[in-house]
Amino acid sequence: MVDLLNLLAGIVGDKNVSDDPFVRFTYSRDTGLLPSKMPDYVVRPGSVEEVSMILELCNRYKVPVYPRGGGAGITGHGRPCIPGGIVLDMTRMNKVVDIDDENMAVTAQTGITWGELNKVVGEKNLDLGCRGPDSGLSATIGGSISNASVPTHGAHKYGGVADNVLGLQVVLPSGDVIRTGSGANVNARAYHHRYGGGPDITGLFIGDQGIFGVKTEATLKLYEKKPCYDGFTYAFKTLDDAQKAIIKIARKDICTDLHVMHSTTSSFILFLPEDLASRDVLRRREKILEGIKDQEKYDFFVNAEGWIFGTIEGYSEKEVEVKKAICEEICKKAGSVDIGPYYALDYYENQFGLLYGTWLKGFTRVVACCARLPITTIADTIRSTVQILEEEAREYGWMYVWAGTVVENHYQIPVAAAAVSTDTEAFEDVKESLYRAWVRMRDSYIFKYGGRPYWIGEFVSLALMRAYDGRYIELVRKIKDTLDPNHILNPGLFPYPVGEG
Amino acid sequence: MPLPTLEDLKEQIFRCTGEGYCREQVRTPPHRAVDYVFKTCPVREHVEGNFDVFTGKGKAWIARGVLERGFTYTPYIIDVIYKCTTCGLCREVCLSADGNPEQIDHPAIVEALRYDIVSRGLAPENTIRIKKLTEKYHNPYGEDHKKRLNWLAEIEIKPGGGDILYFYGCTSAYRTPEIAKATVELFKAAGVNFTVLEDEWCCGSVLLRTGHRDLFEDLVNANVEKIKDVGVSTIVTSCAGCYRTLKIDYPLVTKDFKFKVLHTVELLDELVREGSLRLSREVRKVVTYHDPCHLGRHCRVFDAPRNLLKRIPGLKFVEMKRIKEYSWCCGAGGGLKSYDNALATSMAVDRHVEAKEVNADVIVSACPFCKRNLSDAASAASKNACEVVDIVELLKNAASL
Repeated sequence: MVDLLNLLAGIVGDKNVSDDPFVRFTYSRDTGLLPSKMPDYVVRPGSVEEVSMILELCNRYKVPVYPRGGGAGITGHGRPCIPGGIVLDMTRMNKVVDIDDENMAVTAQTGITWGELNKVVGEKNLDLGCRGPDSGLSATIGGSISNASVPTHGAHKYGGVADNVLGLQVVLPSGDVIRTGSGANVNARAYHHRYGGGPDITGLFIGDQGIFGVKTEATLKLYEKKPCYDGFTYAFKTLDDAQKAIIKIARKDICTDLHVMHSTTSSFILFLPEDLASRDVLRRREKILEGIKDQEKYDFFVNAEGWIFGTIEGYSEKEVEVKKAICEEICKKAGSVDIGPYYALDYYENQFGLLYGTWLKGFTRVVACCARLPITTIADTIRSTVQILEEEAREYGWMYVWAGTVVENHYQIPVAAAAVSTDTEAFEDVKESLYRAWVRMRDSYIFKYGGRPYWIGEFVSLALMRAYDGRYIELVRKIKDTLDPNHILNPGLFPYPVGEG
Repeated sequence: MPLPTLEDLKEQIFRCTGEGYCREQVRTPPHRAVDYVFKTCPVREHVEGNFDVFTGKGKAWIARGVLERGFTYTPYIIDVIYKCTTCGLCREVCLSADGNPEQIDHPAIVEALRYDIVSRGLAPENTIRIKKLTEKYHNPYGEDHKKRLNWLAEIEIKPGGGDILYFYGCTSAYRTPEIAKATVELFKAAGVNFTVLEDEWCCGSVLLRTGHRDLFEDLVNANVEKIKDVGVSTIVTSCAGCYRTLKIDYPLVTKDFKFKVLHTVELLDELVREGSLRLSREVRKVVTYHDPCHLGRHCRVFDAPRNLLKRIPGLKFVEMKRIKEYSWCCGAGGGLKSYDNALATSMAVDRHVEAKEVNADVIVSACPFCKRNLSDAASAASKNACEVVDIVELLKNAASL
């Protein structure tokens, strides 16, 4: 029998491979509700050459490989779908390779976190368009590209992660290393363009959940940092009114971020008992209260079905002011009430801070399900989500804390988070109901509204098999079979899912 | 509640969702993330093969492995568990803990794991060595107990009598006597009616942090009896390690511990404010303050030392980027300095670099252990090396003593 541990140690060094049960256990799950599944080994490669040798080895011996970024996913990512195999912890590959401030592209190893990348480019007065998902302080760019993530900052103006990738370095299951986009030309001087000759091979690996190859470097778009910013927050009597305003604002293409919130979010922020609230919730409460000091505004806000907030960036105060006035005019015509810039500014200034506000004192599990849908479905999908959460929560006594949508260009990504504040044993009783709410949200987005799921992973893979055109699935399978004939990369995920769902 | 075991912490351990902010990064509010994003775990940044087990969530999962799966400790994982300064930055950034030790207390989980390891007879050799030295000499350095008060020789105070007990601790007694001396000189100048124990024993911090709770409890009981005999109601210490241990851990061991515990900086801040201590001599230096983890993050004493430094005439006070609850550990705590001195020192180099970034000449701390470790790192810090002093040394100068 082959001594895989020794062979792997020969590639990455003794210290970067482990078969220790505690190490394997730590890498046996993500942050969601799915159970632990232990790998046989965890490996931390330090270079593209090492990744290539690992894949070549695993392909030879048909050993499953599960690449992992920050492990911050929730639908069964970065850990085995089928117990065994290797988890490839990519976080050792976290260097910035090149910042090209003329061709406006940054190339970094894929194990770098969004937080770090934002910081490094920010120090050079540059900005990413897509600034990363809300978990960006732990999430890596590689994980986000594999999931075609939605950024919570920059999404409206600059789109999702997929819209910001200019090229990738990918190790194929055979061990071969390729560059996509303009980097496919071996004479390329800059990785400035997503498309190489022929089809969008970069796109093939975006949102692939790591089933086609292991991304080792990514080149992302860069922008000059805009020094001025402002924000706005408006409350609407109905979500339909909010949706109309959002569609009009989106047409103008002037906001960096644009979000819609259901009243459940405002109730949570305003009325959550202090002994349950995190420091972030209490800070946000202050920001909202600052905007509704006037009794009439307060009354309107607490009775409003929805509210929106947006941020605007610009090169001058004047530019920001003009853009903000356009949004203000649209919102006022839609019958909204201005509740000031405070909440929006707090959001802008506390990048990667949304999640902090969803944790409660006690035992909390956040269950979120998201999908990309047209912005014309905002009111319907948020209401439907809240209904699901309400029904389950009422029966089982847990809380739903957050319901709203992130506007990414002209798409919306409804996001709902449910949380339980309880003790561990009681959690076991409500876990089933949380899971059911999760399934209902997923199915509502995919089957009722025809959305494109944000995450896939183990949890969504089987649902996709039911929702997607068989001919499309067949095509994806053919690509998978061609690139990965031994199915060593992420076995068990779409388009060859395992399990039930 | 007595000192918590893994079983006692089960509820907390299961709260970890694994989001991983403890693994990678911390945003230090209220600044924009892009300017103020830093790594979370100092150990993870300084070890090779830094799997997630090195992080806060890793400790929760190791504990789950023991409690839920019945895994047996491996030599590798014991080493991982002892390579932690229990600085608590992971607790501060953890979504589930939100900085609240009642939610998830990562340092407590690490200490409970170490206690479990010791209880199973698997304690690392050098922790056993320190335990034996402390048992024999009442200090972890193996120094002659009779010489514990040698630092006091040149200063005129009589042990016994007074309203306040100055608990000077082992490190000040044997390694950094200048801290103990400066402290008592300041107390005398301010007219504080204080005393010291002639027969003070180690507070036991290093034993508690490394899992040797049996001897720790003996030390607590011995010290409490001695303190009771002196008849004071307040204990003041200049060591952050002693401070946390006396203030938080002693009451968990014995109900007889009913003393008010202050750190020197808290008392001095009050004395300066009320005018009992005058800081009139100029100290023309650019100074930054390093928060000792056990004083700052663990006991939330952030303002007193800063108030004092800002009152020194001529002194220019500058803040490093990582301060207060988001401060970067110097590497000395949690028993790491004695377990792996090279690792501890490598972490302290980071602090010199940060201090230099804000043009400080001097790093001031309020803990003899921080002072030692930061001083040990000065040569490795090379061109970034700053002068390292304890706050009482600066205050002594400013008070013309």
